[in-house]
Parts: sequence; C-alpha cells; structure tokens
Amino acid sequence: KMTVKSSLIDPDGGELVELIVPETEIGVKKAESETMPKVKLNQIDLEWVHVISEGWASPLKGFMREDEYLQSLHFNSLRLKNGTFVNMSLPIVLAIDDDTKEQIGSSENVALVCPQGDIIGSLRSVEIYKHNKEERIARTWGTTSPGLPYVEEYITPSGNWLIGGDLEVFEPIKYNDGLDHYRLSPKQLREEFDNRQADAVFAFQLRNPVHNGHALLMNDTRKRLLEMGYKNPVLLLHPLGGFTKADDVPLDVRMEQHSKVLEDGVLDPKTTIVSIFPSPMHYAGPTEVQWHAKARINAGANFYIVGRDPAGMGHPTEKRDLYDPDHGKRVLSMAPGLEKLNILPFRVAAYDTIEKKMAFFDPSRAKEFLFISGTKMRTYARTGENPPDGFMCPSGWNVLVKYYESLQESEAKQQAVVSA
Amino acid sequence: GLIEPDGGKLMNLVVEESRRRVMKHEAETVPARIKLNRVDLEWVHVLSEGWASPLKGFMRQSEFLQTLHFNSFRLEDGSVVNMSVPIVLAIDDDQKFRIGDSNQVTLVDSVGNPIAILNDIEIYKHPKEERIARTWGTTARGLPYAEEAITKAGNWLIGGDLQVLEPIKYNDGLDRFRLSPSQLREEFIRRGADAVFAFQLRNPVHNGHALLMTDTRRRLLEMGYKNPVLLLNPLGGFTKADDVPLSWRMRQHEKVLEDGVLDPETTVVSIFPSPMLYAGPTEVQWHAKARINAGANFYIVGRDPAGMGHPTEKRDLYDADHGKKVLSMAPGLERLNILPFKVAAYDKTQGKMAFFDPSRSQDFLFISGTKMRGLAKKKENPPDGFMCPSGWKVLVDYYDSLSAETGNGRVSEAVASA
Repeated sequence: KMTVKSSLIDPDGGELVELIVPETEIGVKKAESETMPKVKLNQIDLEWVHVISEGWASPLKGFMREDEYLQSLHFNSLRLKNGTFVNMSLPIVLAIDDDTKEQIGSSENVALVCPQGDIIGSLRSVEIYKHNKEERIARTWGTTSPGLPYVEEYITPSGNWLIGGDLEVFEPIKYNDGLDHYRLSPKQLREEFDNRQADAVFAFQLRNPVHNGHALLMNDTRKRLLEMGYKNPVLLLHPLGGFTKADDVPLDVRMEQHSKVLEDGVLDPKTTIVSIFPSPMHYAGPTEVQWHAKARINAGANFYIVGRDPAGMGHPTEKRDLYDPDHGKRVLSMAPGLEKLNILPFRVAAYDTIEKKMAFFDPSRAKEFLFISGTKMRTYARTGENPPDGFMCPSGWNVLVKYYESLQESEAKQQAVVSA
Repeated sequence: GLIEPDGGKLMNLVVEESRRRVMKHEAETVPARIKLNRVDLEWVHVLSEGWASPLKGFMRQSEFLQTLHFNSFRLEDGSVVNMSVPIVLAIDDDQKFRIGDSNQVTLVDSVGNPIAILNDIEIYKHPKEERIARTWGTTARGLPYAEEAITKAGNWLIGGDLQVLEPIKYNDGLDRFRLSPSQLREEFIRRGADAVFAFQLRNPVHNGHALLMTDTRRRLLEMGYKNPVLLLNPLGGFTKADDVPLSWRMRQHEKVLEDGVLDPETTVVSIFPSPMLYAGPTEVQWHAKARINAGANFYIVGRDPAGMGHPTEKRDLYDADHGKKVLSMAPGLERLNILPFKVAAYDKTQGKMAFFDPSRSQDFLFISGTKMRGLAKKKENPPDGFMCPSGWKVLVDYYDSLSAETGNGRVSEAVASA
C-alpha cells in the first residue's frame, strides 16, 4: 500500500503523543502496577487521563510536573527542547492529599485507580510539589471569586499536593454511556479527515444546541474556504464532553440534537464530522480558549472559529460578564504556539424578522433583527413556547423541549418525595 | 560588547534638546490633560529611559493582554521579548469623557506642569480584578501596590506612544545616582567591562550580600572574563511602608563602598526607578529584563525574589523557589545568565558572614531582614562582622529618626490636650 503524506496540520511537537500501552506489554505493565502505591482518580481526573492519553495535549506526556505547571500558569505555553514554544494555557494537573503523599513516599511510580476501583494505568518518574490553589485559580481565571464551577467542583475540594509524571494507560478510556462511538481520538479524526480527503479542517466548538445561526456561520465558513481555493474543507463539529456546569444542557441531549441537525440536512453530513471533545470545561475565557484551539491543532484542524466571549460566563458575584467579550479572540490571535492556526472570527447571526430566518446581522437595519441568546432559547424550551420559525430545525428543537419536560418531571417527583 | 537591549535598541523617549521648546508649546496646546500621581510619574521615568524597551509608551490593549497572559510580547519580526508586569496608565470616567475623540493627551505633574505627550492613544477598560489576579496570583486585600496604585485608580486604561519633555528629576539629592540605561552602558564601556552582573535589593547591604557579590565576581573571573563589573541597583520607586526608605538605603550603600566591603573600582551603584509590586515570580522577570536593557548579562536571583508575606494568611505569598524557576524558563530572557544566590549566614565560629554549610549547620546563625531591622530599632548590636559598622550606624540613625518622629507625635498630642 502506498503511503500518501497527510496534508493536515502537524500536531504540536511534531507527533501525536498517544499513551495507550501496546497490547503485547499490557500483562507485564498491569502486574507491575499492582505493586505500586495507588492514587485514586475522580471523574474529572479520569477525563484528564482520557485527554492526555489520546494526545489532545501533545507533546505533554502526562500530568504536569512543576516546570510545566509554572510555564502554563505564567506563559500559557511550554518551551520545547529545540527552543520552540507550544501553547499550553491550562494546568493539566493531578492533585493528591497528605495521606496519599505519605503512602507514595519515595516511590518513583504510582498506579492510577479509576472511580470504579480498577487500575487503569500508571504515572512514572513522578514529582510531587505543592498545590497553591489560590494562585492557580487567580492565574487561570483572573479572579478568586467564589462560584467558579470548575473550581468548586474540582480544585477547592482537592488535595494540597500535585503529582506529575509520565502517563501510561492500559486501555482506551470508555464511558459506556451510548456515546463512545462519537468519541474519536485525534488520531482517529485525522484518519477520518484523510479518508474524506480534506484539504482544510475547520473546527467549531460549542456547549449549546446548534441553532440555524450557528449553521449559517459554519456553512458560510465552508463557502469562504472554497473561495480561498480549498477543494474540500471539512467541518469538525466538536462539542465538549467533560464536566460542564449544572445549568448547561447535558451531553447526551446535545448530541441527540446535533444528530437531528445533520439528519435534516441543516449541515451536510458528507462534509461534517461530529465528535466529542473529552475535556472538562473551566469557563476560564481567554485562558481556556487557547486550550480549545491548541487541542484542535492536535486533532488536525487548521482553522478555528472563535466567537464572542469564548469559554466565558457571567461573573459569579457581580452583575457583569467575567471577561471582556473581545479578549478571547484577541488573546487567541497573539498566543504563543498558535501561529500556525488560522483564527476565523465568528460573524454574528440573529433572527431576521423580515426574512423569517437566521441571517448575518446587518447594522443598517438593526431594528429588523431579534437576538435570541442561549438563555432565551432555554427559556422558550422550558416553557414550551415555540421560537420564531426558522430559528432551529423542528426536530432539533423537539429534543430540547423533551429534555426540559423530563427535567420538570424529575423536579416535580423530587418535590413530591420531599413533601411526602 | 555589552548585551543588546530588547528589541535591538534602547527606547529613549525624552525629546531632543533642540526640539524641547516646540514640544512644550505643543503640550500646552493639547486640550486634554491627565494628571500623573507619584507612581504614574515613576513609570513615565522608567519608560522614558528605555528600561522597558522596546515598549514606546504606556501599554495599549494588545500589549496589556500579552503581558497578563504570556508575560511577553511578540515583535513584528516574530521574536519574543519579556514583559511580565503591566505598565499602564489609568483614567477615570470624567477624564475619558474630556479626552473624547482626541488622538493625544498631555501628561502633567501634580502642580499642572506638562511632563509628556501621549500620542496615538487607545482607551480601553481597566479590568482591575483580573489585572490583580493575573499579576499577583491572588486577589487578597493588603497588596501594597494594588492598594496604592490599582484599587483607587480609574476604570479605564489609556495607552499610547510617549514623548517626554525633559529628563525626569526628583531633586531629592539622589539624582546623581539615577543613571539611565544608556548612561549605565556608557559607564560599563568606560570601565572596560566584559561582563556586567546585576544585583537588586530593597534592603541595606549586609556582609552576606557582599560575600555573594564578591564571590560572583571571582566566579566570573574563573570563567574567563577579564573585568566583570557589579551593577548594584536598588529599587527607587514606590515601596511598602515598612521598607527602609531609599535615601537611607543609599546612604548605607555609600558606607559599604567607602569601607571597601565592595570594591568601588568594579562596582556601579545606581537607582532603578521602578516601583515595587511585591509580585514574586511575575515581577522578578521585569527586574531581570530591565537589567538586560541596562547592559547586564548576569542576574543574581535569590530566595523568594520580589516576594512578601501573604497579606491575610500566615505564609509567604509565593513558593521560595518559584521565582528562580520561572526566571530560568521565561520567554525572552534566554540570553540572560541567571546566577543562583548562594545562601550566606553568620558563622559563629569564624565571627563573620560565610556561605552556609549544612554539614555544620549548628555553627550558623540566620539573621533575616526582619531580625536585622529589629536589632537596629532597639539599638542592639548585631554580631561582629554582620555588617560594616558605619553602614550599621546609618540603619540605627534611621530608626532613631523614626522614634523621634513618634516623639513629635507625642508633643502634638500634648498640645492637643492642653
């Protein structure tokens, strides 16, 4: 078989770092791990093991050691041995408590135990260092305000030490939630892009259902890439699959909604790949969007569509957005290590009340446009009200309505139980 | 030759003498003016002399964002220079309104004299919480610089290219020590320096510091340099209330040179005009970068550089090793040699400061800055050989002068009660 070199963008560091132990070595490695001190992983730790093991964070080979952690916090990038920089804006670290630290003692390697109790891999040549939570939070979010979802879920309850080392995973991470077939690794995505003979890959990340404004933007982007001379641009529609905050629409509902959008032809299934990005969500704005972009380089995308206030949220205690809506785009365009990625600005779409469809906003006839925010959309769905015709494909909308109905039913049941 | 400045040349932003009258006139005619406070003026001084080269003025938004997120800037040629501390000018809502659509503003001192013009300005929001969090790694109350210069500052930042009408002078009797980067470079060349090693401090020089500096020179000679010169470069801008003031520190440094504890032939003492942020690993990068611009190619870094105690918790704000580690990895500082600070302590068996030897740790006495200040305050003598006697006397005199002021306070109370 003749091997044709891929035209896809190179991964950071030049090659994807995949950390699944070869089958021929699994027996030996598993036996060895039984003798190692054990570190218990929670659900988010496991999501990070998944992320690292598939190479989304290439060239990172495991949880960060202190040098990597400090570079990430201060420079949002890592310097490689050859002097070049790759982006790495979020700390990918594993916290342990005092007891676990004591059990590890001077051991060089530790076994990683998943929430179900199985050893799923190991961390080698470990380094343990202090976990200054306040500093980590302040430098990552630009605030130490109470109410940051990822902080409260994951950082505040975590241990006072961080452990870094080289990761080895015994088997690909599966969730058995019926969605594993959507969880393509960077390597699998690259294979799929090559199969479809993509000469450009443009990535779009979301945490919300796809409305027709999103679809318009994605279709328009493809048209622009064709005009630029690309023959076969492929869209990577890439929702985030790890931890999200409680009021976000859950992953399974979002995925069902996305599949309706493709079934209805709102997006072309031949030139669109829908896959789950296994990272947890920090809502850390300009710091986080760099991570989102860098991971897509590793997945083979050379274009990244960035919107208003990417990875942002409302300030937890003040009546304002946590980040300036333009900062994400600006920071992304200046970020060390992301020079090879083309950042495409998100054109704003809104509901055109004259044409009765989502269209790009035209300031010259501003009064004819209706902005329907994610919040407003969820309110419509929750109250059973129909959005304006043409806002979202009907079958996609129906998924959302059913979700909020089921939410209300379960809330009603809880109330009944409490009152009984 | 000396190390090149960042960006290839020093930014001297002081208007040429031949053009000063014209520029002063222009400054008078610009309707929009911004009054500078003391710290703002210190930053104008820093910028005007090129300590922050290649920065040409107060940061515009893209520079501010790069500083906050990457501690560095990318230049047009794709290369990277370090810039870890935001150098920004804040204005309030009224000032923003009055500036309106103007493209330039005049910066005036506290009594209204024009100091500089800021050109091609850009006004953008001042995210104070985010700025503090990303610079200090905390938002705790009690950060001296944040409370002095950020919390009360306006809700907007204004950036632009700076033209300074005259060299900044303080007329405090210390201007002769305020050598600019270009003057320092001239002095190093005049002395035939083939290496310049920089040492920054905020405290009086004790014999442990002197030992370290002298030993560093010896090591550089062993490395093959013929004439290494020490830049003793104390920080001259804003410092927190319990630090020893600049004038007393400079007096103490003079004694150290007079007594020959440091060799005046191979030492240049000069004031670094920057304010102090106490921002640890973020700030020490700024301190190192500025010395590149001043011509130094070696920088001595100690334990917890630019750090302080946590304002509300019983711990240091930063890990003691992080400053050194961050400095050694910092983008844009690759060409600077970072020399680790060897720890000195008082050797009781030898009656002098010596490098700490763990194999006989019981022979050593650590005298921290806090302990030193306590001794001086109570007029207790430190162990012989800790500091040169005339230098120590300056410190005692300083704390005497503080208690005299307290005495004056008591007199005032007496008057009030009478």
